[in-house]
Parts: sequence; structure tokens; C-alpha cells
Amino acid sequence: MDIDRPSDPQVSVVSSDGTMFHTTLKSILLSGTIKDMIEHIGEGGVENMGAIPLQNVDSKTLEIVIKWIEHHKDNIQPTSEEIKDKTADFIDPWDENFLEMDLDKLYNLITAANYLNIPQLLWLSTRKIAMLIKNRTPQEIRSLFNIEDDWTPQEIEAVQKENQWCEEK
Amino acid sequence: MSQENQRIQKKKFDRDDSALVEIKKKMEVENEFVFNLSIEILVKIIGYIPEHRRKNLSLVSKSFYEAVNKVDENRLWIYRCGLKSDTNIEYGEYDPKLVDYEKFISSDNEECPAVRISSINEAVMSFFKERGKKVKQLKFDGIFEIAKYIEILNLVPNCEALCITKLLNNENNVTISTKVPMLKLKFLCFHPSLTFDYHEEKFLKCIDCPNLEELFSCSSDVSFAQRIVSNIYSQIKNLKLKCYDDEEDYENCSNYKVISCISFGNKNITQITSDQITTFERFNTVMSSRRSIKNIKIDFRNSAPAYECEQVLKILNIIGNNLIKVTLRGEIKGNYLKHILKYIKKCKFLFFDDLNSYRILEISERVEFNNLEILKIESWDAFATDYLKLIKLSDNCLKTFICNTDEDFNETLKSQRNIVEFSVYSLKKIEKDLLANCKPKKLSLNYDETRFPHFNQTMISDIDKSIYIDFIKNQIQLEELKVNWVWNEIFKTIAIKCLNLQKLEIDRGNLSYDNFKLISNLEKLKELHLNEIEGDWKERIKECSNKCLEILKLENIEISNICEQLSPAFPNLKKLNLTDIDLNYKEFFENLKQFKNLVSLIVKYSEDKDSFDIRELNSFEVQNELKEFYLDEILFSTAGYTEYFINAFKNVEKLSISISAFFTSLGQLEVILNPFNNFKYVDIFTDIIDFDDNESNNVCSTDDLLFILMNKNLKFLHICGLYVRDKEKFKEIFAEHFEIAYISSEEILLMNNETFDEFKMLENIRNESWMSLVHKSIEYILDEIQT
Repeated sequence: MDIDRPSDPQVSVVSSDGTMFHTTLKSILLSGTIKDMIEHIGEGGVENMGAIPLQNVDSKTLEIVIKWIEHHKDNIQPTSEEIKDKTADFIDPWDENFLEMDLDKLYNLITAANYLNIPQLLWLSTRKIAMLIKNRTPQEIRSLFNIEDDWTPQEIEAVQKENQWCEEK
Repeated sequence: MSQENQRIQKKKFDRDDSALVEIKKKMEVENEFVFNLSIEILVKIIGYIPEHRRKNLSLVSKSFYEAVNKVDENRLWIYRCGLKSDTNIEYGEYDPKLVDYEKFISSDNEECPAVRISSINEAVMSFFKERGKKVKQLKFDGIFEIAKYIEILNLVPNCEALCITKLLNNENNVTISTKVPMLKLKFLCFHPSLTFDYHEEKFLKCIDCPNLEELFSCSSDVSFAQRIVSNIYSQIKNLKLKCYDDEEDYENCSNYKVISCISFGNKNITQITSDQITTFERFNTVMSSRRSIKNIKIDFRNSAPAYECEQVLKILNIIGNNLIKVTLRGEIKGNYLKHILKYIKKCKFLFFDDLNSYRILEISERVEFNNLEILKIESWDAFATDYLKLIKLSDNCLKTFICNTDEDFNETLKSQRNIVEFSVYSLKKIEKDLLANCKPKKLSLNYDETRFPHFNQTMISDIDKSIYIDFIKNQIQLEELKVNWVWNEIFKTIAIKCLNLQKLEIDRGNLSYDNFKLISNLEKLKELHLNEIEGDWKERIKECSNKCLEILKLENIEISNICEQLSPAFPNLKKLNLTDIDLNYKEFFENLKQFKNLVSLIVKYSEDKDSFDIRELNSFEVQNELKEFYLDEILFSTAGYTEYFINAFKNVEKLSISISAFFTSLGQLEVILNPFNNFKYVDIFTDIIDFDDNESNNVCSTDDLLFILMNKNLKFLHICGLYVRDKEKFKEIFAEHFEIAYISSEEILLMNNETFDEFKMLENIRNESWMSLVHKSIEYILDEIQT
């Protein structure tokens, strides 16, 4: 056994805008994408591996992701198959607080969680958006998220008619 | 939207408002925010939203539409949790609020009574051997060997609902010698398109389910349905049959428009539903064996009339004489209609719904209806009024006439000439052609004054007014009248001519005090509904008088000093319903005792401008006689203090509360349900225990709720918004004390024997399931029970 080797080696990742972050292997393995990458090169190659470039994640978002994975590194993470929808589960209050952020940050976090394949983080962040929209009218949702209404009145009418089929008595 | 839905929507909508404001503020600061989530992620987000709340989302934008459709691809089964890869078992729970195939909602709780399996192995079999008796809902997702699944069915004797997809049998010559008894099975669903009829039929023959109530099948072969109905399940009560002409097109099934709907019934079959008019021919075969069908709904919208009319006539030729209730929708040529009417002339209920027509040029003969009791005309165009010329009513057979001409006008009719024509047709022709010999006692007339917004309103109104007045002054026999857009002259005519009126509903209009005071003429009037009525009558109601009025409903009317105004005018009022009216609560409750005979008070969607501090109730008893109190969406400035509320309403027996800031904890609930209070029927829609917002505080255990058992007076308790952790324990304990002890993820229901009987009675009257009745307001239920 190599006693000099730390039990949880450090790994570096670089954001799309060139900022380098350091974290532990255990934490970063919560990302399915990076885990696959590391498995591909073999565990032995971790220490010699340079910083991992993450072209689709900017530094602000990566900082948030790293905060989350470091907090959860000791928890058993469910697979995406196991997650699907966990509305019946309790949300860790830490996660609730963690997700109190601006919408644009939340969007970037969702995109990053999806790219990095972190199912639990993706579930938490998308669920957060779902809770915001689920009882609102289309107009309220458009207003809330600055979404352009790209329907013409004729198209809207067609969609409403399309929905009629399940409203029939 | 139903009242209950409105209530729920409104309630749910209020929930996140503080969060919304915060977010909007942040967004205003950071204005560069752009919504750019991919469809893939949007699908994930929308997937978390329950399907019945999801449909509206498709109207947000095209990307939302695409995402909703992608989510809906899995509509048959909502994949709410992961398939356990080691056992291929998914657990779920039963939610009767959701219909048909959505009855299955899965969860991670292995104790849940619903199970989905995708293949069979030893683990699956041992699961069913150990816990099969607990399974109440079961879904087979991909059956390849019927025999093995039949083996499982033997292990689930308590199964109430079974859903099956991908039924394939790769075992040749399998014979099942004895049928599997599934005595509790009420619901059976076959997944559309992926089912193969031959195997489906084979499977059905293997099980014996004499208590089946509903079969949801999506076979493309109607003769298959016929065989099911005739040979396999002759005892079935409902058959919901979805037919797709092209199975390959299943994925686009949401684009299918419901072109035709036929429903019919006899003592066994109460309903068959088809999606495609082109299946009429096939239905012919089914129907020929069912001559005692009572109800039919024929929908011609978006169809090719000639072909379909021929098909309909063939069907009516077989079943027409037995029909009691007929609904006609869409575009029917006059000649066909004449034949349709001939076949249905014995019916009691005839509904014309959304009917567009070709002009009928000549009427050589009229079809006489001897038994027609209710005629309802909804959303039809000017030419369609010609249809009435075809109908001859026997003397005084018609009891109720409903005419709602309020929407869906054909573009070609939107010319000035046709407006006049429409107005003339809609009432003058009805009076002349239809009601000459018949004087219905119940009449409902509703039309939309703004239906042609780009034309001269004054002219239309003048024509409408004179026609209205001419029509109503001849209806002196009326006992119940519902009208809209009422002006002074119309009201005056009603008050002077219709002296037998017992119930009057007016929706929108403008009245002066001089005319409104004629209400005193109506000496038999028991019930009055006024909605959005403008005019100076509101300032001087107390100078009017009607001593027989018992029920008053005011909606969306600005009225000040409401008790002082209304109590002298209607001294014998028993029931007061105030909906969407600004009230000063302190003043209102203080003066409520001026109504000496009031037993029922309903206040809905009301916003006190300064909001109401519940502690202000402490100083007085609101109303000694008040027995029923229904509060919906009242804003309180303080949460909690329910004890003040109790003191004020100490004689109330029937209480319904739907408010956010009322309860702060289970302790507050305990105050309401204290055995020393009089509340016997309690219906609470709350978010004390709101699962979505603050889950960790929203969950209680059965032990937390044991205080309920202390209250021996309680006959009915329904709480929405309560998440109880140990559901099985709850059922076990509460079922000992109540006839019904129901619990789902967000609500509990307790009902004693007596109340349950009342609900069962209502179930028959309303033809609605008692569970759906529970989800309506107490107000509705009590109304129904009393009538």
C-alpha cells in the first residue's frame, strides 16, 4: 500500500472562462460525466492527470457546483434511474437554502448539472423551477421567466382545440 | 371551471406569491436574464408537474408545447420513481382524484398498495407470495408469457385495478383450464396500440371479474369490443373504448380530435366512448345487440356530414325508440336532422350543443315530441334556430327550457343583418315555433351582449331588450327563471308579469332603485341570485322589501353596510351567500346578528381592504342561529388564534374553511376539532401542512392526529393539505371509529355511518362517485342533501 498517497486525492477542473478549481476526487466523482472520464483513464492516472477542462460550465456556476458536491460527497447519491421523480421525499434543508439563488444562476446550474450528469443536483434544481411554475397561468409563467410569446392567436386556438380531446364529457 | 376547481386553483395560486415577488424583483435588477433551457431539461421540469396541471403549460410558448408533448408520451403511466433494477418492481399508491389510467401513482414506499412490474423473475414472484394480498393496483408493463402473469394474478386476490401493456404470448397452445377469480377487480386498462387484440381477448378469458366497473381499452377492432361486452363481461357497467384508425399514429394521439362521441346505456352498460366518427359503422355491430341503450351523444364537429349522418341514422334506426337523453353537437344538414328527430321523438331530454347548421328552406312536416321534459340549446347560430321549426311539442310537456346563445358564432354570421336576424330568431322564433303550446316552469336564457363587439351595441341592445320583454311577458307560468343582461324594463316586466316565480337568477345588468323595489311584487320568491348588477338600487336596498325571500346570493357587487342594507329588506333570510364582495369584516360580523333567522352563511373570495384580524372576533358572538359557515379565500392579517373564531361561531355545526393564513400548526386544528365545540361536519383546505412549500414542517404522524378521536360529535372530516407519514397506521386506527377512513398523500377523510349514507344517496342522485362529491364543497353537498 502506498502510504504517501492521500486517501482522497485532489483533482483540478477548469471552467470555460479559464478559472481553475481544486476539489477532491470523492467529490468530483458525483459527476457521472467526470466519473466516466476517470474510469476511462484508470484510477492510477488520476494523480498524473492535469486539470480537467469543462468547456460548458463557467466559473461562477462551477463554483456553485463544487460547493454542492463537496457538501454531498459523503452521501450516497441515487442514480438517474432511481430519481425520476422524488416529490414524496424530503428535501434536505441545506439544499433548500443552497437553491435560494437568482433564476439565471439556477438555469446555469441546471445546465451544468445536466452536462456533468449529477442526477440529484439536476433533480433538485429542475424541481425548484417546477414548483415555481406549476400553479401559474401561461401569462404568469411568461412574465416570470421573460419568455417571449411566440404563438399566433390562430396557433393558440389550434392548441386549445387539440387539448379539447381530453376534456370531452 | 367547476367551483371546486376554482377554489383549488385560487388557493394554489396564492401559495408562492411572496417567492414570486422576490424573484421578480431580482429579475428587474438583472434584466439580461434570458430563458434558454433546452427542451430536454424543460421536459424534466414539466415531468414533475402533475398531468392534470400540465396542460395549460403548452400555451406558454412553442418550446413548452414541445416539452409538454414529450412528457405526455408517457401519459399512460407517470414514471414517478425509478424501476428497482433488482426486482423489476415499482411501488405506487392509489389516487382516486385522478381518472382512468392515471389512477396509478407510484412512490418509493414499498408498503404502497400499487405495484408495477416489467418482467418476472424469482424476486418478483417471492414479492407477490409474501405481499400479494396487500396489492390493490397492479400494472404489467410488457407481458410476454401469459401463463406466468396469470400465476401472479392468483396471488393478488384484493387487486382492484389492473393495467396491462405489451401483451404478447410466445407460448403456443397455452390453455388455462380454470379462470382466476379476481372478485375485487373494478378497473381494467389495456395500453393503447401496443396491445394485440387476440392476446388481450385470450387474457381476459383467463380471469373472472364479476365486479368489474370499468374497462379502458384501446383496441382498433370494435368487434373485439363487442365480443368483450357480449361474451366476456356482460356485467360490465362502463366501457371506455378508444379507437384509433392507425395504430402507428398512437404517439400523436393527443392530436386526435374527438370527432364523435357516442354514449349509451342500459342496466349493464352505461357508457361507451369512441374517438372517431369513422368507427360508427363498426359500432353499428355493437349497438345492434344493445337495444336498450338510453343515452346518446352525437358529435358532428369537424366531420364529413353526409357520410356520418348516414351512419348515425343507421344506429338510431336500431336504438332510437329507447333513447331518453340525446345530445347533438356540430353541423347537421336539415334533412338529416329531420330523420334524427324522428328516431328520437320519445326522448325526455334533448340537448342541442354548439350546433351549426345549413338553412332549412322548407318544413313540410314537424316531428312531435310527447315526452320532452328538458330542452337545452347551447351556443348555436342563427340558422340553427330553424331547427326548432322541425320540433313540435305536445301541450305542456316541457318543464325546463334552457337557451344559452353565448359563444362560437360562425364568422359568416358576423354581419349587421345577421345580428338582427339572430336576435329575432333566438327568441321570437322560439316562442312562435316551439313554445306556442308549451309553457315551461323553468326557463334559463343566457346570451352574451358583447358577442359582436365590432358592431353598434346600442342597436343590438334595443332589439334584444324589446324581444326579451315581449318574450318574458308571456311566461307568466314561470317558477324559476335565470336571465342575463337585465335592464330596468326587463326586470320590471319580470316583477309585474312573472308572479309565480320562486327562484330568480340574474347575471349581469343594470337596475335602478325604482325598478328593483318591484321585488316586493314577487310574493312567492324564495331564492334570489344577483351577479354583477350595477345601478343605484344598491344604495337603497333597505327601502325595498320582500318578506318571503329565504336564500340570497350576491356575487361581484359593490355594496356597503351589507347587513344594515339587507336585513330590513329581507327579514326572513335563512341563507346568505356573498361571493367576491368586498367586506369590512369587523362591521359585517358585528352586524350579522341583525339577520334574525340566518342559519347559513357563505363567504367566498372576499378581500377586506385592510384584511381582518381574527382577534377582533373575540368581543362578540357573531350569530346565535348560524349553523353552517363556509369560508373560502378570506385574507386574515393574523394567523392562528382559532380559539377566537370558535368563540364567535360557537353554534356552527357545519364548517368549511379554505384559507391560507388561518392555521399555523396542528395545535390550531386541535382547537377547531375540540370535542367541546359543535362542529360536526368539517371541511378544511389548508396549507398549514403544505407539502410543496415546507416539507419538513408539513408532515405529521398518526399519533399527532389522535386528538381527533376525542371528538365523538364529528360526523365528517375532510382535510386537504395534510401529509401523514404512516398511512397504514392511520387507516388501521381510524377505521375502527369511522365508516370511511381514507388517506392519500395530501388529504384525509373521515366519515361516520350516517354521513356515508348521505353521500351514497347523493351518489345516486348526482350520478357522481361519492369520492368526487367529497372533493366538492360542503356547501354543495349540504345543498344537495337538503333538496
